[in-house]
Amino acid sequence: MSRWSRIADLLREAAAGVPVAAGVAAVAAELLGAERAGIALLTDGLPAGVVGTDAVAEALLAEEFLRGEGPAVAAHADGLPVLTPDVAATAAAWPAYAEAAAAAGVAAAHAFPLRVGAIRLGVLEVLRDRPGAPTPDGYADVLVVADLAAHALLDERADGPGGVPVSFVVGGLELDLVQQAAGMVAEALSIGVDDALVRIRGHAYAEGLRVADVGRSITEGTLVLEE
Amino acid sequence: MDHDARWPAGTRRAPAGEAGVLAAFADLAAAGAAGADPVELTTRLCEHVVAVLPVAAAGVMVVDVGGALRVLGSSSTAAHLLDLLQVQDDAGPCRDCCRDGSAVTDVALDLAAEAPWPRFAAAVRAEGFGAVHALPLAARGRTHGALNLFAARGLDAATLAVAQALADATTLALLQADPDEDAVLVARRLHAAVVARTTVQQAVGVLRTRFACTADEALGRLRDDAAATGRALVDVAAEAVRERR
Repeated sequence: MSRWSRIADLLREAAAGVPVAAGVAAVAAELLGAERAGIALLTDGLPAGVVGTDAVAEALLAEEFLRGEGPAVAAHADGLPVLTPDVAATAAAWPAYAEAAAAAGVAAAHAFPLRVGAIRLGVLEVLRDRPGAPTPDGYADVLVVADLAAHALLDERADGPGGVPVSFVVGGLELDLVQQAAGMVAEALSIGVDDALVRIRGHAYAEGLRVADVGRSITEGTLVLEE
Repeated sequence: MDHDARWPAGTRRAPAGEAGVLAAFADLAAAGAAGADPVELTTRLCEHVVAVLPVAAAGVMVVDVGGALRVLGSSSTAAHLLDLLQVQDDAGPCRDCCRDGSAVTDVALDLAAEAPWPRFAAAVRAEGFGAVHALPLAARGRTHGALNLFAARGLDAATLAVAQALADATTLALLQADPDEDAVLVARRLHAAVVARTTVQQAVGVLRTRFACTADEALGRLRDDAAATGRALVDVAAEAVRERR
């Protein structure tokens, strides 16, 4: 079984009955052998909410964005994962963060942006009580978690069927067309690409179509989404 | 599309001679040293093999962290679609090459019914190609992806050796960001490349609508802008998408 389907199954179980973000945080913590994890959801680059496996994770993540420093803030700004195997060693670069993390008993923090191309939806941060870098396998697992989570969060906004989407990982052809279609819709309707992607998904669910087929129709010019 | 007409054997760029091949090596090495992202590197590889070898189109596929195949760079929309077809069907020479780590050559497309991948073979012939080859992008005992070559007819051993050498140079450039590069960093780099590819597709969509042009023309605009301003393709694409917010 590929890493994609194995992790999609884990996420589906974890997210049954709870918001996607909460399930994602729990699975990510488990995969990296960490005590806790949290997700900061962002709107226009500003934190719109924090969800975590516990209050410690939520408080630290909220503090990070409030102070404007730390691995999650850096991961969001760069759009790339930021690994911090030893938080104490970052005291010079991020004094406020290092102090807050130490007070919370956090020794290592690894942050992963939740992205779909140029769309940045938030940051996943995994927190450990002991210093240490992730194993290569654990690291790869969490990259897949972050990808699936980003798509699941878009689905949530589009009033989709909920749960964790896996269809996009098996249809490379379709994924590309959906992303291109989102760019076309965004330009035509003067909206953001994230909102365009939400509309494409929403249209698919409302009409009972596959997201990939809606994307293909748009790129072929046979479907135009109206305002 | 008739690629035979565009690529009559032995004319135009085939063979381009040593100077062209050396220039291609130099360009790939320079791009790697300058920290070009994987989408940029693999797109350049595709463009170089088409320019210096009797190859009509080329594409690159990589294995992502989840074990799924992803299309990264291609020299044309035709090559891109044929690579995507292999991902969708999970069948084709590039997919086999990624999985087994060995080159796939001498594919008899004229015997489509007997070919290991009948649907892919039919699509290749529909695009006007007569032969397909897949060469591994491998280093340190790991296969990271494969280079797909589409040509009017089967390529000889000398041509394939040059293509493999260019593929090797690209693989080294992909992995050379850090001499101590470990598995985590390779995973991170390839993952970033997949995200970059998604960004480029979003930007292609924005420009298609803005300029009422084809996907190829939109990609051309992004590449021209990147070349003119000395920026990475993915940065230009991200800017085009951000303007939409």
